[in-house]
Amino acid sequence: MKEGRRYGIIGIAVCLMAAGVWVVGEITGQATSAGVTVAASEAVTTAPLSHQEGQFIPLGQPLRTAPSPRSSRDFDRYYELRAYDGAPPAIPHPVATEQAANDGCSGCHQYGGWAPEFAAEAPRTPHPELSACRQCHVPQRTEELFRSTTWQRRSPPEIHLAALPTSPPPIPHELQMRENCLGCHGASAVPELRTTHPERPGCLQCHVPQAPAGTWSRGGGAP
Amino acid sequence: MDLTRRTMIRGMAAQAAMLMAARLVPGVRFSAIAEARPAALQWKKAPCRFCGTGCGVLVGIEGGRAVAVKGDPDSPVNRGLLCVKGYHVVQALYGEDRLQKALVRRDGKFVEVPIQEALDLVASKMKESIEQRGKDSVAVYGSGQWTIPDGYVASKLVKGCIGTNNLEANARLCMASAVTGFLSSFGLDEPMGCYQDIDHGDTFVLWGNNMAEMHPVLFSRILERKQADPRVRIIDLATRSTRTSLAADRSMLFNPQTDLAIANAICQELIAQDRIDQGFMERFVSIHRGKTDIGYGLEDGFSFSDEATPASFEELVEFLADYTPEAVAELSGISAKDIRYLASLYGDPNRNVVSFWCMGVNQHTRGTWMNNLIYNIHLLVGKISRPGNSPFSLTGQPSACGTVREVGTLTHKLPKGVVMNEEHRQKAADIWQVPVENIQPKPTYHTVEMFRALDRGDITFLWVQVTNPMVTMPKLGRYRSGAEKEGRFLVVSDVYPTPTTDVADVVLPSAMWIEREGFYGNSERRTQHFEQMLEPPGEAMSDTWQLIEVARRLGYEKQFPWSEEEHIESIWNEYRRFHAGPKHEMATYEMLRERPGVMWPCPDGKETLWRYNATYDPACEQGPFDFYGKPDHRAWLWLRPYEVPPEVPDDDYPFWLDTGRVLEHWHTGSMTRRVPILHRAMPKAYAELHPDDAARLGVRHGQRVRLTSRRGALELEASVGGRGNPSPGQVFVPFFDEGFLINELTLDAFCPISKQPDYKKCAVRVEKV
Repeated sequence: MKEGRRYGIIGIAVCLMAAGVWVVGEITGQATSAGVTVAASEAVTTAPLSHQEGQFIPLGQPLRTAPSPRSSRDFDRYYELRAYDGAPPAIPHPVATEQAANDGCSGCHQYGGWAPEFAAEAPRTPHPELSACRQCHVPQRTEELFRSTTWQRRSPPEIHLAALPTSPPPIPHELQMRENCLGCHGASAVPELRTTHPERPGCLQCHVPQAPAGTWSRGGGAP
Repeated sequence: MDLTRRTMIRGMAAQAAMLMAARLVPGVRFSAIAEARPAALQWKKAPCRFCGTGCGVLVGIEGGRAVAVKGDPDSPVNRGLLCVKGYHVVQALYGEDRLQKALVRRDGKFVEVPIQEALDLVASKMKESIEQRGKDSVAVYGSGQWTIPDGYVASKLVKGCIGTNNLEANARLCMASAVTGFLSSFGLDEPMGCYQDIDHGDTFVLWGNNMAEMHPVLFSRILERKQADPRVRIIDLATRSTRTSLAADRSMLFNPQTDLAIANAICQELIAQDRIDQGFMERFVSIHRGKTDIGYGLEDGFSFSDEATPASFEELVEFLADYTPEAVAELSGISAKDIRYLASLYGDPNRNVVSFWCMGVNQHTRGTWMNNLIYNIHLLVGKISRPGNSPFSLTGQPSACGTVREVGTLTHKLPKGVVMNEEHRQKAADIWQVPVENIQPKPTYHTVEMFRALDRGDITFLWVQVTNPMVTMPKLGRYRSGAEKEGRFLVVSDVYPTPTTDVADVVLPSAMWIEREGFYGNSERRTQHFEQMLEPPGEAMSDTWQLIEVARRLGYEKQFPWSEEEHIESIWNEYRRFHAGPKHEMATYEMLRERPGVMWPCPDGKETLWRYNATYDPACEQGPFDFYGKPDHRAWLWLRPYEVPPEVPDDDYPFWLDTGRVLEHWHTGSMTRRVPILHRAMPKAYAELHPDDAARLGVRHGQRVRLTSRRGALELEASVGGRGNPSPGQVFVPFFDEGFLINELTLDAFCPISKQPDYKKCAVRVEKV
């Protein structure tokens, strides 16, 4: 009980502090948005500066992967094709043949991109070194089930978990079989997962796998 | 209570503090506290539930349910990769119709009863049968999906306590020829090499083995090997063009049964071209001749035993004279040039050759011979028991090796040795603490004969665990009507309703895979432990514990004294005693818990990667090779001729019927068909036809055809240009679909040595419906 009371007191103290600061925050916030408006109207002839919100300067290089306006990929569908986050997705399109384990899959999926015959973005494989695609990816020939299932789908991981508004979000998933980040985050990705800066190859320089939940402790009773 | 309230208050205060703090510093996330989930995802290791490859999987457990899977990157088997079945294996636990209560048939209808009551009934029926008709009227039929403890307690109960050899397993239908092949050639079961042979080999010859679909993870390992080294060659020898054929460098299609002649032709050519390893042959190989014209086991009570007569190298040359590439080309349908090419690969001193095979060779009325013949090729060129040089027999079930072969749940076997051997019986009696007279010295029924005995009424009580014989028995009609006859009592332990539970008198709900603790043993002698990760549904109970419960009811408390908490560990420690010694030492329980599988022999905690090779195998008494399984310390090369199959296509039944599996389904589909993605990818069985045959019959893809054999008929959809492409004059039907029971048509002929039926060859008629 003692400890609970202490937390209660801390809670109340923080409330009071927050209430005070909130007022200040409201005022400065207004000032900031006004500033952005001014900057945007001035930027008609000169390129926007890189520190300005919402802008991205690719260091003089053309953007190789402009977000595609015609993307047909949808985040819910992305998970519908997977039994759980990390499961190999089912093939959502008709396949030319059953006979080969890899019959032209790499044509569209090695690098990904727009596939006019399906009017869809073909995702890029995150593991191009594995060539027997149909070992893990299978088409779905019926919607029906043999017997119904009580399988419970785990909710997909939360995304955009950046600690600060400007900081790179950590990686909310396992990296196994997903070593090539552009497979899921490149030009042909689901819009929510698409990177704004595909030209930077060292993804793990800034995006780090998220540590498991819980707080770190030194252990061993050390101070 | 106090603890809960305190935690709750603390949590509430923390939440309030955080909410306020979040307003205080907008945009900053206090995620560590906010996302502290009640139960975090935990990854635990297990071998995959499905095939004999034995991939290590990591199962994600959250809130008491399995929610995800990944390949175990630490497993030397699959190194992080799985196949579509493996990635969805946990979904097989969650079919809505999981058996959760015991069912007893009363007045023709199933009634739910408490499991203890059902176990009482099982024990009393067993007792009744023994009292009225003798010990040999009761039988237990298990499978290569039995965990090691399941098989071990079954053997102890049936052979040690009850005292009958009526113990068999479905591995008889899939691996028996591999066993008799190993025993006749080397005196000891299971491969000398390991999967690392793939990394060291550069030539892979696949004998009737559609590895791309049946052992996909190993096939991917070969493909990766090929990407790394342009010298790698994959040769697919088969009767049907498959995904494996398309991925191979060469696909050679031969006429059914002529693999016997092709293997002999390769040997003939190796000798003719002086490609053999003379030194190896002289020091490490002895040559033997067996009986010929050995029959097919089609009649009840068929018996055969082989006899070895020593033969000279000259006799071998003389024997092989009939098998010139030209002569065999005509018989087999593959060209003399192709046969010479194969011989040149096997004989090239700069090539490391691995031969792989599975059901094509084993489900063969001359299956033992085919196994011997592949060993012959490797022995002639000395390419054996060395990294990358390996005749490698693959298995189809997760513990066909671990349980059926190593524990020995076959009529003639004991956990160490055979019932015919007095010393072996004595050893078993000592460890089991039973009088040695209990263990009968004569084998009784192998699987086909066991179901024939059930049909005849010689067996009146049969307990089936983890297998589905009412889908998988050849010539199914006879064996199903036998099981349904009056006066037969059939107990079936399973996890879902199947055509076998349909004909049962008692159905016991089993705990499946990671719902209990256990071990499997895979194709490369790797034993793998898995802990209990989930609670079984309802009253479901592990097969091990079901057997123990019944054993105790039969009065064998002394032999089955273990508590539910520690019985698996105790069973393992008792079982290990059978295999003590450098030739078969099993790893300790602690080591198995820790590691993603350990290969036996494992003396002093060290795995043996290549047996019979003194560099790697401490059991060798001499170097560089010691085939210590045989009394003469040599590998035996056998003279095995080509003989015709029992039924060949004729005017009335002009097609060959071949049956098998598909990538998406495992065995009879009772598990995989309940996995949504797998069923949706492969919803039903079909009859694959060659396009020329289809055109001649006027049948298009998707139209219905009727297949008729001398034993039964079946209507299903034709598949033309589908998954596989049979040679002209052949039809292929997968057996996973209980809606289309292809085994109504198959023939129950078997290899007289292994007693394994041939599911790959019988004659049928194909008509458009």
